Amino acid sequence: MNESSSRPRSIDRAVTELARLPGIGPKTAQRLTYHLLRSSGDQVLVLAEALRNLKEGVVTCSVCFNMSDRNPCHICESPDRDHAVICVVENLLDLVAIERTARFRGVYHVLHGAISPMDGIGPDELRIRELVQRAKDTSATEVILATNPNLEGDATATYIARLFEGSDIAVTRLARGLPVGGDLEYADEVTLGNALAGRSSA
Amino acid sequence: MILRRLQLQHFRNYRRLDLSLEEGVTVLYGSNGAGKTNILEAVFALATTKSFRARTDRELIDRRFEPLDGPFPFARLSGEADTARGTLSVEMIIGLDGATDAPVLRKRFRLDGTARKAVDVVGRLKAVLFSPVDVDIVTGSPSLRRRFVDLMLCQVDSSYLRLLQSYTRVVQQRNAALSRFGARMPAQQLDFWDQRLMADGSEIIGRRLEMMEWLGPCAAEMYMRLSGGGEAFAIEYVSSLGEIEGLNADVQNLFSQRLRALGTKGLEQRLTLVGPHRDDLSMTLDGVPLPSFGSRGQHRTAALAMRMAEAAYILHRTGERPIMLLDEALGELDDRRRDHLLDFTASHPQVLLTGTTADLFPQDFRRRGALIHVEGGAIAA
Repeated sequence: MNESSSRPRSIDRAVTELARLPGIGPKTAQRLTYHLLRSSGDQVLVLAEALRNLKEGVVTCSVCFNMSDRNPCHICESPDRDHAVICVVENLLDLVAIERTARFRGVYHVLHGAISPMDGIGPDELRIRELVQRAKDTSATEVILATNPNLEGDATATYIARLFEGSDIAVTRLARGLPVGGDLEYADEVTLGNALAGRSSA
Repeated sequence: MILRRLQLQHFRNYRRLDLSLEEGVTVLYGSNGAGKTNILEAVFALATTKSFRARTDRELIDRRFEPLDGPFPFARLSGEADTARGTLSVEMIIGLDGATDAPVLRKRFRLDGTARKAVDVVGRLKAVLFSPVDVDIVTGSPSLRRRFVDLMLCQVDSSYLRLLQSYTRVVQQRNAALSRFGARMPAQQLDFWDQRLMADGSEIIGRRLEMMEWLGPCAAEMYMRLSGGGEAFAIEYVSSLGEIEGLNADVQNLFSQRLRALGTKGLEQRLTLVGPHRDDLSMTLDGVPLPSFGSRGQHRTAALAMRMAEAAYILHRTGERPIMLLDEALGELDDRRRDHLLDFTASHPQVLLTGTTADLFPQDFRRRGALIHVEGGAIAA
């Protein structure tokens, strides 16, 4: 930043740190910083406190690698959940999305990414080994692969499915099809093709 | 297909242009650098979502863009056309992506006023461009011939573009995996990429072969007509997978055999050595390889024949005659070839030509058409 010499270093630091966040560029970072500067001292401290406690209060679940305030997490500890059905997701936000449906009563396994050699991510960089071990240890009956419906998600799902070949565990994938509220005529051929292939009885 | 109206904003040397176009022939004339080709480039970009000559999208935005014009540089192109299925409007906006502060230029599209992805826009407006650099298709690198084939297929079938994008990413991912592991690549990890490579790759080759079966004889016929007979022009698809026998050949099986035959050599090189991204077209004249042995005139004729065949193919597949764009395309042609090209293009509902003076075109051709004088990024009165 050009103006850096003329303003306090504390401001520069705040701008630089904020600009590291996803979706925030230098301009937004600057706007946020100056907004905080103008806010009351209390408000800034409350935010700082929230950030400080963010990591302290949150731990990674050693069973499913979800983030929670306890280990194992509340889902892994819940007696109301079916622990024999494991839903595999790429990221925490995918878990949140599936939880929001309130239709899934099993447990999760968060991979923290998908196989993408271009980004230097292979199976060893993901929580795949832990998944296989866990499924065996807990005598799971089904592993649902809920990776993203793109090339990398497919690569990850195929790789994992291969690892369970020959076991008694059923490996399934999320259905692919048409979005609710969408127009059939605007669906691309791949989506429509998938929806046709995966049709269910009416 | 007829383009009725073309509007440009901050595109190349056009600050603002609102051009009404007619059916038939339109000659755009003016001195070098006036902006004639920019108009053809705009039409082509609306048809294919890409410029035929810019290396970066930034080049497409008016260099004189000033802060007074708005906080961020942008260019906007929009076309309204009559098609067999009714009217169509295509809009392309090149500008900074609003979602982030990081200055990334993005292209956004609207089809009939609704925001759409590039892949949904390609080929809605149909156009074929004839340009002096077309000769590179004959004499240039294989990648130019693949582009010729791919762009043509994308214009008639948007699922082909999806397939191509998917395949390209598979090759990138596979190469990235290979560059990490080389010959020590674990089979379990290679397997998925190989499966996708073979599935998508075979599909691409299949569609190219199908297209070439139609295009080959058509281009040969066009060459014959342009040259007045005598020499037999032939064009064939040459696959890196080896000889493919007929359209019903099991390409996927061939692909798998080739990959296996390459074995660890393929892995050591850390590249995907076979597949549609390594294929080519071979062109011969009376059985002799055209690129190395033909004269410049023969190269030029072959390139013309291929463009004419492209237009015929688009009609064959879509039932619609594309807009003909001729960019200084008459320059090196003798009278016979020139007349033939003009006759062929005139069988299309709309032809846009550029030239430094209007006299370059035959009298009767000019009489039939509209003359537009382009000067300094504007239409002169």
